Amino acid sequence: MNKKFDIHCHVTAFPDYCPPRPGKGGKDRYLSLEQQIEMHDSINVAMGVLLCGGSPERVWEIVQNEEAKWLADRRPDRFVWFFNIDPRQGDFNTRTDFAPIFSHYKSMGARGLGEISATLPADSPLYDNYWRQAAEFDLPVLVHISPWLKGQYGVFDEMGNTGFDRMLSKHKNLKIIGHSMPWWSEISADLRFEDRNGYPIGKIKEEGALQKLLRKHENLYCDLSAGSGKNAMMRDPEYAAKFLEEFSDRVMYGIDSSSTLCDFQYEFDEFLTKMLKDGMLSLENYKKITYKNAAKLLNVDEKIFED
Amino acid sequence: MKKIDIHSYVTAFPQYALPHKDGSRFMSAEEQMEFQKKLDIEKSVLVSIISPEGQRQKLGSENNKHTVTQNPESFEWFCGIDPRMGGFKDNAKYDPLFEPFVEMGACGVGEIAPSIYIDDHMTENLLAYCEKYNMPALVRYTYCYGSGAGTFDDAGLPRTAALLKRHPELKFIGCYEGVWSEFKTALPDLMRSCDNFCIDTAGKFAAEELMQDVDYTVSFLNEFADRIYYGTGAYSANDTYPFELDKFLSELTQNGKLNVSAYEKIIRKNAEKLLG
Repeated sequence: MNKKFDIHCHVTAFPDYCPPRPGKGGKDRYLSLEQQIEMHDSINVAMGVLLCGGSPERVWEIVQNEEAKWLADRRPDRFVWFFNIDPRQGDFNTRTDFAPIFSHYKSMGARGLGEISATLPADSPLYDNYWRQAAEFDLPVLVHISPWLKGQYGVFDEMGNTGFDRMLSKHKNLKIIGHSMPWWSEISADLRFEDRNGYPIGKIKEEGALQKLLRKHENLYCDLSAGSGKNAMMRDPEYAAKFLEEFSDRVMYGIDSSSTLCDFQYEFDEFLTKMLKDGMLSLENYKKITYKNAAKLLNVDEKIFED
Repeated sequence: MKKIDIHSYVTAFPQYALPHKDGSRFMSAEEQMEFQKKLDIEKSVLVSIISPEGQRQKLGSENNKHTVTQNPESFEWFCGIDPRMGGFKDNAKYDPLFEPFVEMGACGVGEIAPSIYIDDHMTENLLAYCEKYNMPALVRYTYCYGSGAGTFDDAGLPRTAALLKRHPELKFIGCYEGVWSEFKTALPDLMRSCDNFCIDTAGKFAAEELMQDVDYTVSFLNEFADRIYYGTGAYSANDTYPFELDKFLSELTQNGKLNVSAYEKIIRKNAEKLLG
């Protein structure tokens, strides 16, 4: 079996100084580099993308861009990295020139932007300026969507992710990697507004807005990480097979293991493996989803993942 | 008497730091210690940059704690919390952040600089936690929404005054342009009416305001010496205004215009008391 590429990792350079997240007796902590590698080894992941937490609505702990670079440099055989710039950074207006900032981090080896989660509308003027420049710099952008403008972190979008639809139509070269519950819940047409930020269950009887967006925008990608990607696939395995067949070029495996307590990734890994073994997912598509798409997008040598 | 700088910045990753617009960058710990020597500073408080508006990069709490751990003789630190953290809601629960940060030795919270009104429910909620944990709140002000890094108030700082009256135990340090632009207008009255309103001298704007009108400055400093903290706010080792301000304050003291006791409070004793 080939090794995998994890499009969505969160690691801290300061595991002793990151405050634990509430509710789990201090055990829910950000991963250190070594802990992430250990987890990756346990699930046959050869390489991961280190993401930075940037926007205040999102973070409990800050992972600075320089920190991600430092971490990736320690194990370049195991990690590449994205940087995170909030669209309100710089001059905090719609004319902000992000070029010096994007250029700096890209020249240091960053492969993309993420996890972008500033809670502003996806098609707001600030984001419009930001997407334009991300496209100009050919930086894929991994986004976390929010269904509301307050009370939740993420790029806000309406039902159907219509804001992203407009932005991808306007910025033809913009590469968006979609992630999170409001992203994946759009896989089914019977989505209710109140379920957008959750994990809707049940068979997918009619395709949702997500599929329409994917057909319309060839630069749109999907991040299968976290409970949202897992739920979208596992709620209806037969539909998942159809979905992954059609969009095999643009779906990417990920974990989003931002905590030492994460263990959902093993069940999903078993699910994908079973789909392969049962013939519901071809080997070629399995390879695309688990490493080839990400390797191509981020310019990483595929040989790392092959047996 | 050596100074304590209540407001400084250090990056733990100088080799990767994004240059500022003028090509300089945040100082490393070593560079900041050199800076300290030149200004006769014994210790600097490292503050965080967490809020995105008007800033080009971030300096997290972990960055500061790491630097202090490596150089405990030269630095203390404030943790960084933006009032939108913890779920972007008015009643976020911050005990799980304050408890570990206090245990790790953070001496305060700051810069608090979200681009929302100073009395926004989220900000007031965070400040209430600062009050609860007896952690000084270093709050950066800009002029208005969209004008740069910082929170903001209306002209005359009325929302700040009302907020401080609602939180009488809160140790509040205001800084930067949104505060210092009221140096000759609302600031004296605010400081007279709110015992817990303090200011620091960080940033070029504050230095320029202080140096502009000597007689006014002397009167202000002498009256409010108990609640003014010396801070440099230097974004890079190239910043010259801290040296100009230092020379200015020293000369005022030497020529007897600024009381020696006021000078000593401002440059050190107030911070000693605040930091314990």
